[in-house]
Order: sequence, then structure tokens, then C-alpha cells
Amino acid sequence: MKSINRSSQERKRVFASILTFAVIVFIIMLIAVLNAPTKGGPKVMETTQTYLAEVKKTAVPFLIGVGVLSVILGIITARTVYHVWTNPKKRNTLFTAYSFLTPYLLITAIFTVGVILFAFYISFNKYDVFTEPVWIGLDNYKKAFMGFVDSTQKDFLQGLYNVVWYSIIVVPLQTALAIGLAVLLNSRTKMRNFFRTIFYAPSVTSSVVITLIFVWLYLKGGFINGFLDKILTPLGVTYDPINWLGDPRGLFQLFGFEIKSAQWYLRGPSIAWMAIMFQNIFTTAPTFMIMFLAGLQDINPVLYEVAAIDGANGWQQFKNITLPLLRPIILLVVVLGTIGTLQVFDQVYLATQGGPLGTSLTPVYLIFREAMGSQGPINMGYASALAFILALIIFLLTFIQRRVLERGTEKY
Amino acid sequence: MKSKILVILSCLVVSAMILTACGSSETAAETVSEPETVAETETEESSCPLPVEEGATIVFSGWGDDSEQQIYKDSIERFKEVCPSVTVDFQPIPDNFQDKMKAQMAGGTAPDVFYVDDQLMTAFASSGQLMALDDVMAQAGVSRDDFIPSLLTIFTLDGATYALPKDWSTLGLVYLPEAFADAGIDEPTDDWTWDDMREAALTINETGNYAGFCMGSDWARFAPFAFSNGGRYASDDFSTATLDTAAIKDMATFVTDMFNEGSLVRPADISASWCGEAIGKELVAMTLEGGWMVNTMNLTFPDVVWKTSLVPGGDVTRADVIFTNGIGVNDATEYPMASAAFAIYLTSAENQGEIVKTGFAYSTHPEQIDLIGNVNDKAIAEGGLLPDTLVAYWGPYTSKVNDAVSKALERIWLGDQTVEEAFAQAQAEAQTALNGE
Amino acid sequence: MKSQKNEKKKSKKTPGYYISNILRYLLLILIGLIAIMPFFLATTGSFKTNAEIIAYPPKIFPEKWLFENWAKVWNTDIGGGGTFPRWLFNTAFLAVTVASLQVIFCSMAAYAFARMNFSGKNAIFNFMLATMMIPGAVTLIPAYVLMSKMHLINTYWALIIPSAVGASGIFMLTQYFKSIPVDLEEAAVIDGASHMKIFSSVVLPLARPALLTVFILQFQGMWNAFLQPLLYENTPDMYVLNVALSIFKQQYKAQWNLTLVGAMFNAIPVLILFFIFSRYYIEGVSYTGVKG
Repeated sequence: MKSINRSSQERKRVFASILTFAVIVFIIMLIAVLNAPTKGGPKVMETTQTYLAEVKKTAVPFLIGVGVLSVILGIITARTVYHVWTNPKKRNTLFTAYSFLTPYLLITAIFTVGVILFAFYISFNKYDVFTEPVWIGLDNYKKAFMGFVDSTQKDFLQGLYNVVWYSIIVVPLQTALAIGLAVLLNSRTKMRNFFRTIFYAPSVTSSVVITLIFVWLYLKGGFINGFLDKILTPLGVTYDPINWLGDPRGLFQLFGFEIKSAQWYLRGPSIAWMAIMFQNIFTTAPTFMIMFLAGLQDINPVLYEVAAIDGANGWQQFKNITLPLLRPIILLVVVLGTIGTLQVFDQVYLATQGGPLGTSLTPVYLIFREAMGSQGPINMGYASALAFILALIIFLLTFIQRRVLERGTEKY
Repeated sequence: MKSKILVILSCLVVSAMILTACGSSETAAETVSEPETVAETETEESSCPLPVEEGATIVFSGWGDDSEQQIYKDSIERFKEVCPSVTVDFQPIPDNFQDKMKAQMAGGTAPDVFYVDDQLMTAFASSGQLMALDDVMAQAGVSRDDFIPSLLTIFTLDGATYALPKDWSTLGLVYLPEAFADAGIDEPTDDWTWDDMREAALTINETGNYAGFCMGSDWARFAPFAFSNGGRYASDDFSTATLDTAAIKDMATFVTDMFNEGSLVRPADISASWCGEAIGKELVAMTLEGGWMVNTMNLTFPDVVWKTSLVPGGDVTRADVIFTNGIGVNDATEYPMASAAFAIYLTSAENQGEIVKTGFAYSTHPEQIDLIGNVNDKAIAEGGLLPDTLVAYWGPYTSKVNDAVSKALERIWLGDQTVEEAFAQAQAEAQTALNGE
Repeated sequence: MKSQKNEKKKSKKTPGYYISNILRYLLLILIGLIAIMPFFLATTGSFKTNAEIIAYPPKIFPEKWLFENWAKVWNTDIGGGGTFPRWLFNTAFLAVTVASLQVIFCSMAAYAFARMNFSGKNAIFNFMLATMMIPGAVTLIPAYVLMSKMHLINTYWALIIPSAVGASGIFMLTQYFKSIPVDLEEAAVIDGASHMKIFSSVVLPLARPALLTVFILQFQGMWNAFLQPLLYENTPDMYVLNVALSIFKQQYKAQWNLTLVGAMFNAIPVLILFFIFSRYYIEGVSYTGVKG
């Protein structure tokens, strides 16, 4: 009896593992075929046959690569299933967890993974979408860093330089501002909902309109210059109006340093770029504010009461209770902020198009330009290479942030 | 509390549903009324340019605001009269036209007939996504010579024609007569040189009531300066950048001198977002703008009196810069004849003559320039017919080359670099671009 | 409730209480004024003529309030079923659907990440974060081609399915779930409740502010989406507000006043939604729940 049971159990276990393997390989290969890097265009896409013929012609190396990947992934998961099978509790958890994850995994597999695999493969090719991709190895990645030796190709490096400044300045400021606003709005106040809504307003207006308004405020004869003039003139300072969004002078030049334009990297963020940073803080801080607001609702009010009885003042309560307990949300905001700032695009696209003198050029704007071919033939390979370099940089930065901020939180 | 949220959500959904009901009933009403107008106009006689497929339905896309869309809706009506068996489904694209076209083309869902500009020529022509029109043109009795010659530069690749110009624009010297009266000097004439313009700008600027001449650091506004001095941004075969030539640098020095003496201002310096707006706000006496000024002034500054004269001339010649867009046909269209017939009809003298009457755009047929109604518009258009006028097109990397020019001017005016340094750098940048690196 | 009483009793009479209160209100009003500025300028701008909007020096209020700007936008009809109410419906329908699906699917995934231990968790979580780091700009055309292969172009599905669940929503909720003290669930675990049960009857009610936040952000994201709807929807009856209204902002003939009206239509519903929802941000939801 027992041995039959065991062998049927064993059969189920093997069957489940094989099934897992098969499902994973099948799904990934299906996605690979759907996203195969072929020549595009109506003649190729006309029927399934024409498309598959094209896949056979150009995408075999891609399919083999993805195939190997899917087999490895399939083996790992199948092994996990095999190991976990005999322990009902673990098995149960595994299946529950993955059933909770199924919607995400399916949708992401179909709409994200395939496209990313495609982009990764294409980053080693020269590809303009309408003709067959041509393998060129690491040339696209080399080209990204050509700016170090050839100043006429400095766009990507300048973009990186710009967003690094952007990130360093914007992320801490907007995070601090968001926490401050959230704490202020969490206190017991009359018309609290009203104030919350007002504070949230800058985030709501679509970026097209907020940019339009800021462009207007930033005009040389606009409100901002008028306001500064009114404040500074009585103080005896002669104020020279600034063309905020059109001024490429760098921060360090403002201190009177003479820096040649060949040494743009010594100039620091330009006035135009800092104006965009200000706009960005203004519009995204409220979004992060409501994240903190939600986080604050999870803090046990009793903690504050106890602290107050112990004689802790407001600042001490904030430092010793609020901040530590908000740590997961701070991590969330810092990581999202870092991703958002290093990928800044909207404001640049709408307000400055990378100008003045490339001081608001960003990697994503460049990627968009190359991927859509707005300044020459579509260069999907180069755009993809830039995207992966940028992603790697963001991943490393956020990885460090997670390491630093998550220390100790896992104890929960 | 959960139930309250549910109530709010369901309210939203219900109200949304009511709205759809409204929306769809309105659409229904419209589709009913359409056939009547067709029936009325079918009586006129005219022949279709090509033997079209019976019962063809083609999709046509373009960009444009509501007024441009109306022009093409009317054109479609006219086309129905000459080729009644073809149905045209107009799907205008509100924004990012080129991006959407490229995506649609890649995915195989592109329209049959669509606007083509230099960007789409670059993306589509060499990869065979656009239909070469020369055969159908011959069949329909249309010749390249029917069009203003320079307009076809963009749409020609290896001798084949991939699109026909649908309209064009150029720059004229736009000015405020009031500013000239105020300074007590004569208004610009068609034989003005850049020196005359500079002198006037200086005089007007000295009165302090108006700035002299408005120009941003922009390759397009600099083009008439450069072209009239015999300069080009790149060689004719698009292989070599020619930005560090004396012809270009002399004119760059000229505008820089104007900038330094204050007779040339950038729009931002006088709190305008572009120079046309500065004219509308009566901040500046002169600028170089195109046919779009007519609409802007009518819509936004109807009370301002403004005039236009021919673009000033340089030492070598008088030359303007042309901007143009065309109509092209998807090579994979199911109805090549119907699509080509539509493209040919839209750009035909017959249809162009109708469009030009609306004041919206210039006809691409040189003999129709007199049909332009608005005096200012006509004066601007004259520049396009000058023998040395060019389209600033230097092959697939045109916009990178042009960009290098704009940035060079920006650096010079900023005081960052001398003319010499700036254009040496621009030359290097443009050459890198032309090399495809 | 108890804590509220305590606090009042404690800090009632001191003069410092009044001073700090006055300061706090002044601060609230000051920040409120700054925050509402662009919104306010957009509102008054939407009643101006185009010339007034770009006038220099700028004026805050219009000379004459042009209500017809609003009427003009409301009555826009570009044919092919492209009417303003229709666009409003499309936008609202998509935003509500996507936000609701996000809340459901993201919270499921986030629960697994925050509360369960299973092999592959860290790998999948890191992978998920990594997908957020690859800029969407590079995949616009490939994603379009994929949609076209799946015949989803010009349908609502093209916008709903890919956005039904997303890395940022999951990441957000994971962090919130992590910040909810685990002891509240431990009782349930001891009772032998299943994960499904704990998720639906313990964690979800506690995480209400977080779920609302995700709902609002996703609603807003879809409501303001531009590039995807522009690429995926072809016929005028399928446009969303943002896409449709861009016909008013062509380069040289920009009708800023009408663009601003469109912006108001964009912003107001989200603000109302937030105003309604913001009352649910109440301190210590998790604790009052336990005490009561």
C-alpha cells in the first residue's frame, strides 16, 4: 500500500515538475516568436505566414538565445517544484504565492519581457525597423562612450551628466518636502481635506499644461523675474532679468569662473536645467506627499502619546518615531524618485527640447530621438544600447539605496 | 466605508455610460446626414486621373489643426466628384504625426495615403515603404515640371519621386509700418539688401519705442542670410558639411554684429516666445516669418497693422528658404491606383487652386501664385519663386546639420565662442552627423 | 478616538499651543497659495482671449470672462464620432478600469512579496524593479508592433491590458504592506486562516489608505496618459481627452485658451476624486481597527 502511494506521489511530483518546465518554455518561446526582431512593415506583417517566413530568415539566433534562456529558467523552476513537492506546507505557500503573482507575471511576460528581450538583442545590431537587423557586436555600446574621445559625439555623456545633477538635487529636496508636507497635513487641522486637495493640485494638472504655465512664468518679463525684482530692488541689489529656460550658463559660471564651452562638464547644471528641476519638484512632491500621507496612517498613535508623556518634543517624535517607521515608504519614494529623475523626459520634450546648448539634454530624450528617428534614420540598436546602459546605472544606484535604507527593516 | 467607495465608483461608471449614449447617438445622426451632401455634388463632370479599382476604400492621414483638417475634408469631397468609386476614410492624427506613422508602418497598419516630410522620407523611402510615383504620374499625365522645382528636392531619392508636394511656405520680411513711421524712415522695398535692413533696424532701435529686428538662434532664419551670400550647409551630394566656409561665417559675423549693436534681438529678450508673437505684440519692427503669420495675426492680433516684403538680398544673390510637405502612398496599399489617384488629385492644380483660395496654404504649382488672396501672404510667397531659393535639405541627417547651425549661433551670441570657433565646431558636428556616426 | 481626546486635553491651554497653531495655519495657507498658483492661473487663463494669455506684462484676470471658450471645447466635434463627451467617457472609463484593476492585481502581488516566503521571490522582485528602469521610450515602436500583431490596435484593450498591473503599483503596495505591523495578522495565522483569508479580511482593510493612493495615482496616470493612447487609438471616437485636445496646440496657431480649458477638464475630476478620497486618510486605521 505504502509503496504504491509513494510511487504515485513520486509520479505526481515528476509530472508537476515536467509540466512547469513545459509551460515556462512554451510561454517564453511564444513571446520570443511574437517579439522576434525581424524587418517590419506592412508586407512582413500581412499574414502569419509572411511574418513567420521573415522570422525564419532573420531571427533564428534570437530564438536560440531565448530558447537557451527559457530552458535554464524552466529547469530552475522545475527543480524548485520538485524539491518543494514533498513538503505540503511549502508546496502550498509556493502555489499560493505564484497564484497571487499570476496576473502580474502573465501580463508582464506578454507585454514587457518580450519587448525587453527584443531590445536587448537589438542593442547589438544596426536596425532601422524597416530593414533586417545587422549584427555589429558592441559597436552601439562603444558609440555611447565615444564622447570621451570625440567631442562631436558627446550627447549621451552630456545627457548623463545632466541627469546626475538632476537626481542629486531633486531627489533629496522633493523627498524632504514631501515628508514635511505630509506631516503638516496629517496634523489635526480644520478643513484638512481642503488643504490636502489644494496641496495635491500641482500634481494633477497634466504635464503639458503645467509646462506651458511654467514657460510663461519663466519668461524674461514673466512673473518670476517680476517677483525677484520686487524683492531685490528694495534691498539695493540691481536685478538683471534672466531668461530662465533659455540660459545655458552653468551653476559654477555664476560664481564668476571662466569656463570654456569645450569644458562644459565643469560648468555644473545650467540655469535652464535648474529651472526645470524647480518645476519638477513643484509637480512631483505632492505625489510623493500622498504616498507619505498613506504611510503615516499606519503608525500607531499610542507611540506618540507615550513619547509625549516621556517629554519628547515634536522634532524628537518625528525623528525617533515617524522617520524610522516610514522607512519602507522613504525607500519607495527615493527609489521611485531616482528612477523618475534619471529618466526625466516630459519637461525636456515639452519645454526645451534639450536646449539651451544641450544643457537639458537627457538620456531618455536622446533614446526617444534615436528610437523614433526624429533626427535621422531610426536607430533602434543605438537607442536600445543607451537604454540598457541607463537601466544598469539606475539599477546600481537603487540597489545601493535599497541596501542602505532596508537595513533592519526586514525584521518586521 | 468600502461601500461608499463602491457607490462613487459606480456613479462614475454610470455617468460615463450615459455619456457614451449621448456620444454614440450624435455620431449616428452625423453618418445619416453625410450621404445627402454627396448626392448633391455628384452631378459635376470631371475625370479621375487614373483607372482606379472599383469600390476601393482608402485611409488617408495627415496632421493639422481643425482648419487644416477642414481643408482636406473638402478636398476629399472634391475627389469624390472625380473618382466616385473610391471612398476615402480621413483619419487625421492630432499630434506626433511622424512617430505614429513610423509605428503604424512597422506594425503594418499604416494608412494608404499620408503626409510625407523629410523625416518620413528618411524612414520610408530607402526601405521601400513608399510607392515610387513616376509611373502613375506618367499615366496620369502629371510631370515633375508642373511643380515649383525646389519643392521636389526632399521627395526625390535616386531619381524616383516618392511624394508630391502638397503645400509649402517660405520666409518674408514681416514688419510693422508704424515702427518705420515712428522712426521717420522708409518702409522696406523688394530690392532691399541685408545692409539696408540693418541700417533701418539700428535707426528704429535708437528711437527706443521698438526693437529693430527679431531673430532667434535658428538655422531656418539664418538660411536666407547664408544662401544669399552663396553659402550652403552641406554639399549637394549630402556627403560634406560646408559650415566653415567664408560665405557662412561672413553672414554669421553680420548677424552677430547686429546682435552686439542691439539692432537684432532674440524673442526671449523682449518677452515673446517667438518673433511672430513679438510682431503681434508690437515689440519689434521687423522679423523673418512665413505664411503662418496671416493666421496668427488674424486669430490673436486682429487689430495690428503689419506688412511684408521680399526677403532682403545679399552680396551674391537674393535667396529664400522653403519648407514643404508632400503626399505619399504606402507601397503595400491594397488599392495602389485609387491611392495614387488620390495623392495626384490632392496635389493637382485643380485641387491646389481650391486650397489656395481658402488662404490656408500656397499652391505647389508656380502659375497659381497669383491666386493667393492676402497681400501679405503673397509677398511672403514671392520669396519661394526666387531662382536661388532652396529647401534646407541635406539628406537623412538634415535636422542634425541644421541643429549644429542653430547651436553655433547660440554659442556666439552667448559670448561663449567666436564665430570662427563656433562654426569650426558646428562643421565637425555636422560632418559627424553626415557620416552617419 | 481615545487618542484624539488625550491630545486635546494635554495641549489645550498653553499659549504655545495657540502660537504654534497660528503658525501652522499661516504655513498651510502660504503653501496652499503657492500650490494652487498654476492651477489658478490656468483657470483664469481659460477665460481669456489668446492675446491676453501671451500679453506682456501678464495680467491675472481676463478683461472679459469668455465662457464661450468652455462652450467651444465642450462642443468640439471633429467628425467620425469625435465629440467631447465621447472623449470624456473614454478617458473616465479607461482611468476607472485601469485603476481598479491595478488595485486588485497589484495588491495580490504585493501581498505575496511582503508576506510570503517562497523560492524565486527575490529574483522576481528584482526583475520587477529592473523592468521599471528600462525607459519606455525605446520600446514604443516594438510595443506598437506587438499590439498590432495581437490585433489590439484601436481598441480599449490595448490600453487596459498592459496597464492592468504594473511594477510601480506592486512596489508601492509591497512597501506599504511591509510597514503594516505583522502582529495584527499573527492571530489569524495561529487560527489557521489561509493566505487568501488573511489577505482579504486582514491586510486589505488595514491597507485602505495605501490602496486609495494607488488608485488615485493610477487613475491620474491613465487620465493624463498621452503617447500610448495617441499611438494605439486611430479613430476620433477612440481618442482620450489629452490626445483630442492637442488639436488646439499646433505650433504657430496655438490656441492656448482652449488648451487651458482642456487642462481644466483634465484636472478637475482628479481633484474631486482626491477630495472625496482624502477623508479616508485617517491616522492609525490599523490600530483603531484592532481596538474597536
